[in-house]
Amino acid sequence: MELNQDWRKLQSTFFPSAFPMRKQAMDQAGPILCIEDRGTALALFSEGGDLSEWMGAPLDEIRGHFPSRVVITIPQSTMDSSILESLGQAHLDAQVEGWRSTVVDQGAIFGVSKKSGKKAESNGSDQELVERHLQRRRHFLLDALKDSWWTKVLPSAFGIFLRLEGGNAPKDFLLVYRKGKLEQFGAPDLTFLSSDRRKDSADVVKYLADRFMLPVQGVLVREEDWNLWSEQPSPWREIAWGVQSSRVQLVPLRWGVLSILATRGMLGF
Amino acid sequence: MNYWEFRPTVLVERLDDLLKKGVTEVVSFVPWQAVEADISHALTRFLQAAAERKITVQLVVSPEVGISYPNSGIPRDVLAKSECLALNAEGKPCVQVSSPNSHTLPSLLAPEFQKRYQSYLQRVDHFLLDVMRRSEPGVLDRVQLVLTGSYWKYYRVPSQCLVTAFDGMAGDYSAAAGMIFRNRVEQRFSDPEFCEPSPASANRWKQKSMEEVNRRWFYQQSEDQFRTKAGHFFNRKALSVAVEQMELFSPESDPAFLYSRVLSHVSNAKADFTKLAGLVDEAATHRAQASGSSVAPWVNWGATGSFASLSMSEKQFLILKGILLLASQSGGVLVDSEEWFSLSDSFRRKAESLARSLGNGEYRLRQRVFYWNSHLWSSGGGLWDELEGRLGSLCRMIASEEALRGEEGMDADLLVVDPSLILTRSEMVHLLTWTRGGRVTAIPRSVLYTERARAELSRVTNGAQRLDLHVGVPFELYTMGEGKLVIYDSQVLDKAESLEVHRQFIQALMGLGAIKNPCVMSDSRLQVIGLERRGGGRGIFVLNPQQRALESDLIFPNDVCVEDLGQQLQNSDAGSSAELSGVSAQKFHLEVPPCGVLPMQVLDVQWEDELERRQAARLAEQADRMAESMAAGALAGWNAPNAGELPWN
Repeated sequence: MELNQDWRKLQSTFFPSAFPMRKQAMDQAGPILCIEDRGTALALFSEGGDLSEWMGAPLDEIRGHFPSRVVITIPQSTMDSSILESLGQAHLDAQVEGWRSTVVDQGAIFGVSKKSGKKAESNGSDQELVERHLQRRRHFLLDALKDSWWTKVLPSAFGIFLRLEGGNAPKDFLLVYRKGKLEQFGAPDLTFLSSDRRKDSADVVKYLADRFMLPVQGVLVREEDWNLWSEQPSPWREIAWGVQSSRVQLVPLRWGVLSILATRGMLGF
Repeated sequence: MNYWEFRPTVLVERLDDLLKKGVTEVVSFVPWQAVEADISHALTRFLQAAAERKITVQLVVSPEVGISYPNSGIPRDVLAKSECLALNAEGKPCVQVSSPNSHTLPSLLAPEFQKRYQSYLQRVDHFLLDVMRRSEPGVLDRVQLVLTGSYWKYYRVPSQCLVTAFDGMAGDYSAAAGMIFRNRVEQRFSDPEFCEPSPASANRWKQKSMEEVNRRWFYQQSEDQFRTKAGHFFNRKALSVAVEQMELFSPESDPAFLYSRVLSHVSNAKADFTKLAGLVDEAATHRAQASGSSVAPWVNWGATGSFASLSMSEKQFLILKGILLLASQSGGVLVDSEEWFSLSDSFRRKAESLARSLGNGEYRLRQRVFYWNSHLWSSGGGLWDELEGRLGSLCRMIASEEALRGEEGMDADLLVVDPSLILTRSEMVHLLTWTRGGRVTAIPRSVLYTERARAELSRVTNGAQRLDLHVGVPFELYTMGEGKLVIYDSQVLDKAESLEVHRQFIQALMGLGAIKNPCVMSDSRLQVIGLERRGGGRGIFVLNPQQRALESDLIFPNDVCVEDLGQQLQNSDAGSSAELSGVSAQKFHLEVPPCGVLPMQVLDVQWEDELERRQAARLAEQADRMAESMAAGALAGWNAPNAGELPWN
């Protein structure tokens, strides 16, 4: 497939273990998420739990039955609007982000926050509590390219070429950002290059830059390291050390890129 | 595997790899957008490479959901036009939550869509001709084109189908669909049968109060036409390529799963396994028809959807459940090749041997109760809910009279007709004939019969023995040949405030048809799937969808002999004898592991006798029919008797 949105490759490259936090026991269950209509539960969700028998039940009854569980509710009309609005987004991750924002901004949270021990009978005003109870899928690189100050210093359009080495053949992945949004992602088509040129990452980066008409930064890293870092929320220090010890190679070596990596690695932002 | 997910060189390696692993048949979706943008002839290369390796390829050429292509393969410009979008019964766009992106569904009835769809079909045909021209003769011998039910069943309101997947009204309410609907209604009711007793009578069928009834009929008819047209197109064009029909369910993309999927994404949690497992049950009980025959149901588990987020044991459970419920009906389960090979060797061996056994017809799911609804994907009402709740996969919803004609239709014992169905004379005659063969048919006392159908019913019931009964609902019971006809008061059912009324009535019908569950579990969290074994005996599969082991009693109505079936299924000479050496008892205590499936072979002498008795009645009926048809062919001036009449009396 021509590079567009290769979801499968994105998942396997950036989220090698899809659900790393699934070791928690059932008694430490996460929040109950509920889409409601006029005080009645329409749809309920709780990871690993079957709440189907509660569909159609009044919210008060559900809260009464699960006094020690956090219940986050969102009106159906709000959720429907959010889903429809999200259709303009380029891909599912961006769409999910929109839904999540809606739940955080307009959801109501009930129950006890176990961490703080604080009674949270808030009426949708405590966005922080909702945010805290909703796990978020994160990847250090995707987050940095989306939410951090990097967005202010990076060009409006650029590509990141990732080459994971270590197996029989390297695994290549290209992210294309335009106007701050991840627009295309997938394994780049390098069939126009000879097999020798394909091995040369500098040649590949140059070819991709010409083809997509944007600056491309190549990053060469061992697959084992990459998978380990992908599990961590902020492995920037290791990455910065990796660059210094040549475990991570930047192609071409741009001083600007190196400095923002170093800043993040050493100073933590 | 989807050919468009790989570059040509990788694709060849992938096919070699699959062949090495013993795969000789692959299914690939053909996304519309992939075909329109296929300048490198990837499809041609794929088919050539597969032919060289003698791999059979099934190409799903109908627009489908649940494929990991942007907009599920629908061209972006089609979705950009509001006049091309489908609207659900609430007048809102039909949203598909999927990866790589969520999108709306187009209207299959929009003129612009139809035009573009025709050019897509032509392009697929062009590719096939291209392959034939460029390759050795016989290159397409191992290629099958698969047509599916496309988007029709997904035009539903998510909030209406949260408890039961096919609840509420399904259908496209867009302006384009509305215009075609009006035209079709005019056409249909201009038929002389609807203009009796006077031409003005046709108007009663077109009244506003008939809108829902007519829409149901219209959506069913549109879906049938859509399938038939695409089938005709390929049968006319690509002469050497076989065209198959398949009813493909993508539970992850179903509107009933939409909110659950959204919430799981929002909290970055794995999908609701219980809900997905429930949707497989729904897939097993709805059976479409195409070109006069029953369409096999398949479930598709994609590689990038909710299925991928489940644990190994949950995935295995869903695959086994799908095989049991669908492969036993000539259907099956589509699993992405990478997902499949990520499962353990022993599981794959087990699943393969089970699928082989079911595919060979060793075991089959016999659905003894049919429910005839006017639209397959709309609500069947309280009676259907009650039937499905009691019998599960033993009942089947149909939406065509043709479903009663096939082998499976002849094998059914009880038919319940939905009150929203318009019955014509020919349908009534067929129903009554079907009933005579030792079956039970329950029809509503309805205003939705044509005058001719009503006259036919009166003629037959006037001379028949009648019994007035009241079990939850008042109904009349007529004896017709070996069978029984029940005419029930549907208005009482509509007005009933309690489900108890439906319960009592269905219980009465099941009693009349001698329908019963082969066995029950003392713990309702466990599910039982009973399959009939060729040559006698049954396979009983106990499924535990829970995350922890459950202990329960398996209770039969009488003493039966039970043996473990797991070992037998893995042997190629599986159970050639109907005799079992296991323990004989009425109750068995079981412990079913989490997400586990316990297979057992059961020999129940009483059950076998009952089956034989029914079989004899059916054979007698078939002999009658054959005699009639022979007489019609050989004797000039012979007229087939009306339903209920015996020609030699």
